Amino acid sequence: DVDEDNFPSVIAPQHLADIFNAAPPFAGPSIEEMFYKVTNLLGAKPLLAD
Amino acid sequence: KSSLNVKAQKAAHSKSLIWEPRVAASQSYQTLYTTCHQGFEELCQLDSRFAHFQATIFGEDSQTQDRNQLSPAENQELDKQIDAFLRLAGARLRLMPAIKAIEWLIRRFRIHEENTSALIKTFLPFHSIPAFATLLSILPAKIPAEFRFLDPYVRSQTSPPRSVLVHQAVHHPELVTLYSEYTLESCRMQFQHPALISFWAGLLTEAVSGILDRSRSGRVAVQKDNDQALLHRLGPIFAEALVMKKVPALQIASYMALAVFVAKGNLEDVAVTAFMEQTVLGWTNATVRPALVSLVIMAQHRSAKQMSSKVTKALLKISDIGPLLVEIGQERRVDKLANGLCLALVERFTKKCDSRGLPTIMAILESRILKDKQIAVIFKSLLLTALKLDDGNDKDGALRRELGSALIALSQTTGESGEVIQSVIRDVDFDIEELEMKLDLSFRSRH
Repeated sequence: DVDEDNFPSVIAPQHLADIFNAAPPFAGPSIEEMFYKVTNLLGAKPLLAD
Repeated sequence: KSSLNVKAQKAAHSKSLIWEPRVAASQSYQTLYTTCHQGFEELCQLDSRFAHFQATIFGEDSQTQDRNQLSPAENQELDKQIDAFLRLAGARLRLMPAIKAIEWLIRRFRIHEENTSALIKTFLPFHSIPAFATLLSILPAKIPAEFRFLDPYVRSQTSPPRSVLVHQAVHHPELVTLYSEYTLESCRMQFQHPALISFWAGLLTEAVSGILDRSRSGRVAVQKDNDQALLHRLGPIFAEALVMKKVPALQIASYMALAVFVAKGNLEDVAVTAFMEQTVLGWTNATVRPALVSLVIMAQHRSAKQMSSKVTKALLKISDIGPLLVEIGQERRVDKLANGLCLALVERFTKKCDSRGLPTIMAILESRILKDKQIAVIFKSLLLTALKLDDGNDKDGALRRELGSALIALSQTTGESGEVIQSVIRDVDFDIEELEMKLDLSFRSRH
């Protein structure tokens, strides 16, 4: 049973850098907000959208 | 020769974060102490944990304490005090009182020369502010090897941009290990602050992504070695950060870097499963939602279908796990975690006579977060489970009644999920009537 979905994600380095460069660490959003910004770059769209 | 010594001493004494060299050179320790101690007192008002240092590096006696006169053991103890103070002061570096207090340590204990690495690490999250450039300007000519990449900025006395730090971390991952260890130690001491954790999180996340990108450009065999080396480097860091329940921000920061690592890293199942199990081992009410999102991402990159028993048990403890997964599933693919959880829950039904998972299975099956094929397999295995139950393994028939009403409810599901379930009911090659008899319920007659 080959899993057709199991391949590594691709993230454009610039997208990641943009998130962290937006503000210095002492003035940026909470770590939880950063978490959601980064994870939004990862993973496929929901199945509902198919 | 003695005049040379005096000159050298004066030059050394002129290194300051606050004053021009000429002014600094002429200051007595007494004057300095008075000014700097004021800063220290203000810090104590902001955070009572600073008061501890009144007995040592900020005591009256410190005015006459000369490193050269101290024994190696005493110097070691001094370094310990300085290290702890700097970690605690890290949170306040943008405030003048902190700069004044650190000024005392620079002038009295020459921490810019004797504790250079600790001092740079404290200031690194603030690399963009002028105080960092000032710090660089007073460092000794030869700074510790791990920070020598900052030499051009030492010479030009300018603040390094973030990209320089990230580039260094990608090309010399020792920096990632070094700064992770520094951050973890601050957290162990409960001396962490938001800027430190945010800075570390960003550096680690971008470094992981960059290191993986670099490794992809090589031959496959080399890629595997590099990935393994990165796993060895980061594994222990994640293992500790993920379970540090007293520092939720550190946990969330590590979920972020870990999600990138697993999503891009092409890791073996055994590593992904271990990371998933560490995640659920450490999560708390304060971190469970981001932890779950991270878990969902990791599951998408794992090839085994069923969730491990540790992950299943932890998910079962979240009271609304089904609706929560459905909610996260509105934004991203969650099918592998949801599917793997359902399979594990169905297995618990027969193996442990544990029906607690039924509401979760139903919430997931009735939603649109699974693929049709996954819905069909889970529903079919529920039917098979119903067939396997009899007076032997279900004495009072409670499991059969529960499962029976669940199957009826599912058979009445409308929409696309309902269609898949209907087709399974039509296609199953076992005897539906026997199942009905066993369950003493009829769900076919209702259609």
